[in-house]
Amino acid sequence: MTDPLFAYIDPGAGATLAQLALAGTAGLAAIGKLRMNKIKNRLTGKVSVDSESEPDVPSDESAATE
Amino acid sequence: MIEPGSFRDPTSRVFYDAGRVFRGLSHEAAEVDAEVRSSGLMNDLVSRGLFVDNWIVNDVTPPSGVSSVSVIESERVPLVTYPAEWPFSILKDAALATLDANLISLERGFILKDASAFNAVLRGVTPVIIDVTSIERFGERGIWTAYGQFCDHFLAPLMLEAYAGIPIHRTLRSRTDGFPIGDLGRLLRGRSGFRKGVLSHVRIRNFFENRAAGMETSERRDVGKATLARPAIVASIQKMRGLVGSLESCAPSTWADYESALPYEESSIDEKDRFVSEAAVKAGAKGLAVDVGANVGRFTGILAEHFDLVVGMDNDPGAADGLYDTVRRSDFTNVTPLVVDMTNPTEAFGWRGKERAALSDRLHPDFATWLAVVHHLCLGIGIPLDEVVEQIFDFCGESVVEFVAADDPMAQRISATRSTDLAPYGVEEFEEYVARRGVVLNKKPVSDTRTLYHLKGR
Repeated sequence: MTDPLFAYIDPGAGATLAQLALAGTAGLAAIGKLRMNKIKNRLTGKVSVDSESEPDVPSDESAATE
Repeated sequence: MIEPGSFRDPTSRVFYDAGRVFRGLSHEAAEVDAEVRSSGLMNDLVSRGLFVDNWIVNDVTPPSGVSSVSVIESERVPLVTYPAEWPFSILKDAALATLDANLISLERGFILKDASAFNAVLRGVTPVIIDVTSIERFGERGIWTAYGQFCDHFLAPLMLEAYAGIPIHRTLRSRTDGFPIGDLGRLLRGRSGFRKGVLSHVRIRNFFENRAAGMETSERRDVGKATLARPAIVASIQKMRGLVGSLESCAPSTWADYESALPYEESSIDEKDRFVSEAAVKAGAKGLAVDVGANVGRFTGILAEHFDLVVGMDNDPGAADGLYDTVRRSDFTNVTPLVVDMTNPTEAFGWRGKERAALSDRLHPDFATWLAVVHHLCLGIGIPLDEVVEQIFDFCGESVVEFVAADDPMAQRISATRSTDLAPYGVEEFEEYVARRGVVLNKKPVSDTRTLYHLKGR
């Protein structure tokens, strides 16, 4: 695993998803393990009204610690 | 002195002391560095010529503010050059060196944590990586953190020159972060949009970048945790290597076949060879020489027989690429081909305008040649002759300069559409301006319209 202490380069969410998508079945499987209810909607363009209007609200931060 | 461009990795800062170059490492970086050395990876990367030689030193104290858990000294490369100053093939070879270093590292459970084109410099003619602490642990699963950076710094400018004919010195000039993939997507339209790698690394990347722009923090964090098994990462990098290796420049070149169209008799070229060679010997023939307007490098080669390092610079990337190809196939290892427009050399740029230094602060030649250049600057571009002479002496204290009279066939050709209302341009004026700054050590006419001067500043 990459040590976060040294991750001074931000790989970026878009570039990471592109890298996964280009890595064949292993990458697609990795995308499949992501929380697809949100991300899949983003990828297909189906965006919920709530998440679009408040993209970075504090409740998101707490959700991320789960 | 701390290197102003090394702030991006706080675990490893570069500093200089008495002409030597060091890195001060934090506790975490020192731990990884020790593992990299004990695994044999560092030796492997250095012996393959992918990394500069480097070693741990114990008797050097870093400046205040720099970690000192471990201090590494690196071989000093005589001239630091930037990606926008390289012709296509050098950026391509630097990209391949970066990918090869990744593949070798992955074999031993490590990976390069970044893929900045600024991590590579030219050791003579060969691209080599100077950021010796850019290695991190990988293990069995992880992500190629530097994928996006590799695309921006290497793949995008290479594709733009290979598929659209736009040379990299235009797309990378004054950029610290490569060429934006979104802009590349807009530029590669029509047939070029279907070339190899565009769908994968431009369209798909753009698609995900656009989608990711609207993601919430929690979603971004999820993406940040995604990993791939090592073989999948290796396969991706090998595929990238195949793509980069297949790219060839299609940028038009003005001067690449200039040598064959020179308006000289063979005998006058021999005289020029002799004059340059004798001047080089008289100048002491050591240190760094620059061949300004090198074209495909006829006189660069003569200088390379005398000086420790010769920079052959031309504003035409096709000419510099041709010189790179010639040198790679020769026995010379002390020639660095660069794409530099002498009317607009690289300025300082980046964070606080100091992250990357101006060419004039990096390049300090001991000897220079300006062969068949002055008339291009004066008659072709319109720079006054006295300005050009000032620049010749500011650039280097000792030079060989060719003065081409206005009635020379080539001078006539480049000024054919220009008004005759130019600043004074003649051999008398040239010698008058030279006398203000220096002396003529030697002078030799090589044709009715061309004269060579060996000049030395006061």
